[in-house]
Amino acid sequence: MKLKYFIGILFVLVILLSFIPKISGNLTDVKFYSTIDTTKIIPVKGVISEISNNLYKFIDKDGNEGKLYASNITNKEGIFYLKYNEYENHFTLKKFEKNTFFITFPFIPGLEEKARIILFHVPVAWVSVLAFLISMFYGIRYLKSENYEFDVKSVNSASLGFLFCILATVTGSIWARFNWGSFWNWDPRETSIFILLLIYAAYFALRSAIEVEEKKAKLSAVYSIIAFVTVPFFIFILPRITSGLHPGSADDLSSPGGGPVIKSGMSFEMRIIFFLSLIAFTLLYFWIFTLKNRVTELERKKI
Amino acid sequence: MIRLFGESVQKVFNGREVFNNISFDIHTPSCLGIIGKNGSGKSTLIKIIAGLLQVTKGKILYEIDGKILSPDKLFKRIGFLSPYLHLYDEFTGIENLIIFDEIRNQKKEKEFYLDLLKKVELYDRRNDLFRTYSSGMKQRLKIAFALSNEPDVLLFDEPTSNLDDTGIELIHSIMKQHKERGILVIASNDKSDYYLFDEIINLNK
Amino acid sequence: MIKESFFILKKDYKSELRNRYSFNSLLLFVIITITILLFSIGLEDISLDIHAGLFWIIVFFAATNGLSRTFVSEEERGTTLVLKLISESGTIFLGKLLFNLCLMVLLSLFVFILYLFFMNGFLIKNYFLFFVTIIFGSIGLSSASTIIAAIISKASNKGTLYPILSFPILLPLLIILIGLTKSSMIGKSIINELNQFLLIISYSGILITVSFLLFDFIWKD
Repeated sequence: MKLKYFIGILFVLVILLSFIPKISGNLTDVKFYSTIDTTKIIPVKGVISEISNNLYKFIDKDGNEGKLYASNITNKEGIFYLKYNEYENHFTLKKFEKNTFFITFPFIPGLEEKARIILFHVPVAWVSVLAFLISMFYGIRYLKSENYEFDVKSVNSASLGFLFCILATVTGSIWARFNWGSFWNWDPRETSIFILLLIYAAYFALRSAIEVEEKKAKLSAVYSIIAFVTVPFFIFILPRITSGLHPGSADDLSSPGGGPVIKSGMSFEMRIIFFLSLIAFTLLYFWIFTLKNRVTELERKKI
Repeated sequence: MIRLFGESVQKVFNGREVFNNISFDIHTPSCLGIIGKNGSGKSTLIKIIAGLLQVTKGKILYEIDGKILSPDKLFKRIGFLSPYLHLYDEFTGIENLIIFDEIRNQKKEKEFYLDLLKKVELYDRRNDLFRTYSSGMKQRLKIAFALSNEPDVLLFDEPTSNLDDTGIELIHSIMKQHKERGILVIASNDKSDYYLFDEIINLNK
Repeated sequence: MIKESFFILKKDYKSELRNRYSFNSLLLFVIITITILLFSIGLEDISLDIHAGLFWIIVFFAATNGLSRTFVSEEERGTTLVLKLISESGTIFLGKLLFNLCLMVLLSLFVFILYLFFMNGFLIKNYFLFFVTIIFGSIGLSSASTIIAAIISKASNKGTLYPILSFPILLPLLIILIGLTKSSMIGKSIINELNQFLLIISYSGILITVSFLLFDFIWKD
């Protein structure tokens, strides 16, 4: 089975690419931050060239130029932790880090290092929605054909979706602890994922409450369809009509119009890694899904 | 003319096959008998013929003058009697009949129901609640219910159960009459019903 | 089909009159809950948000007791077979939906009257908005509950299953309804809330359509 190795390699790649790149802003970020928080030190990737003693010309990764006041610099290139001095219009160096890796992640105000969560949290959430959709798809096919196999696939996909949904909740909740200060804030997006968990918990409760297999398959398929048609009311309507903390809600100015995926702030490189991760998680889902289907089929044959 | 035919009908219930490969083809006037020991699926088959249960494989179709009857409209054409059938306890005998016909949108004159109740000898008790009836009287009211929409197809599951001698006489005369003009399907283990059968499905293998 | 479904409504109404399957226990349930609330609140002044929330919580749990009975009572008495013999599944669904709708309207009006008598802080400035909210709320609640009631009638441990299944589906509706009730207590005009009513209409419309299409699968064994 080659897919297994491919998924493995892809995951190693995604994990490395998510943690190796350093966070790097540009000079505009430093200037902007100096007006808000004077103690803030911001990493900027750039190159320097000496103008005079202790004064350098600094060119950041985006091509912005500025004057840098520093002493004892041996390296010409790397990540410079900077502060901005408004009165004298120059930057001062607080810390230096050698950096040879060609990718950096953008400096997103308020997120910084915590922005890396997007590379795991969003793909997991996406896979859970995908799994629920596939579960419903097989549910509908079961209702049409009453073929037992479709019910098996529907349940397997729903249980995987449930697992991924829990993962998304946990990763999101840990992130929320560090970003918003508590694990759970009843932000609209948190509310909607909670409801999604409730729906599928109810789905499994319903399944265990019905003895006859055909009825179990039919009724749970019907319930998942009924529940799914109300999900848009949560995912798309509620977060936008009420205010929330989550990126993409109605009062998030950085992504007007809203939507569950963060658009703002992601650089091109970061987006590539994001999509790699998305592919990796989706493939992982399909791999486990087919494995699970084979296991249930073998179990059935043995009986 | 009504034709009722089943093609290699199979029913699986909770992973267990109840019966398989049942085929029949009858048309008016005729009587189909379903026999078999307890648990062989007589009631299941007659429910399937009545459209109350779905088949797992195969099909059952009604043809009226060459046109296939839609399963949604089937209920207007059949009369069904079964020990599994329960009427509403909180309504009187005559109310039960009238309410059912209202829902069927086939309400008739009151005389019709009174005549029907006279026929099944429940006229005197027509204004008593169904829950006060004895089991034989309940069976009589169910017979009246089966006849109340003047069906072309009568489906009787153990028709003589709970009936006394006059009741058995009555239902035999009803069945004989109906057999002359429509389709009659009887699921029964009572040997005294066998003389009615034109065709037989034996569920014992 | 519409006419026949009204006869199902009539049958259920008659049967309700004789049996008092749902209504009596519903009324008692509401009275009990409000009594508990009164004791737990005491002389405390509670905010409009909590009043609006409590109102719909009572209605939701009362609906749990009442609406779930519609199909369960038929299943328990064994009368589903006779219903199948006298009408199409669509007719039955519509009839039960109508019955649930009537039950919900009566129920929420009853809760409202009790609330008005016993809850001191419960003052409504825009009665028109409030009653429209009750009507639309009843439509939404019954449209989602009827199919759930049909599903649980075929399952075991019916009592506990109903709130579990219906809560996630009803929650968006409840959130909107609580908001609307609050607006009617503040005295907002109905024109400001048209969007919310549109949401309820689309919610009920979608649920009724989907339930209507899927009911056949539940109803036929």
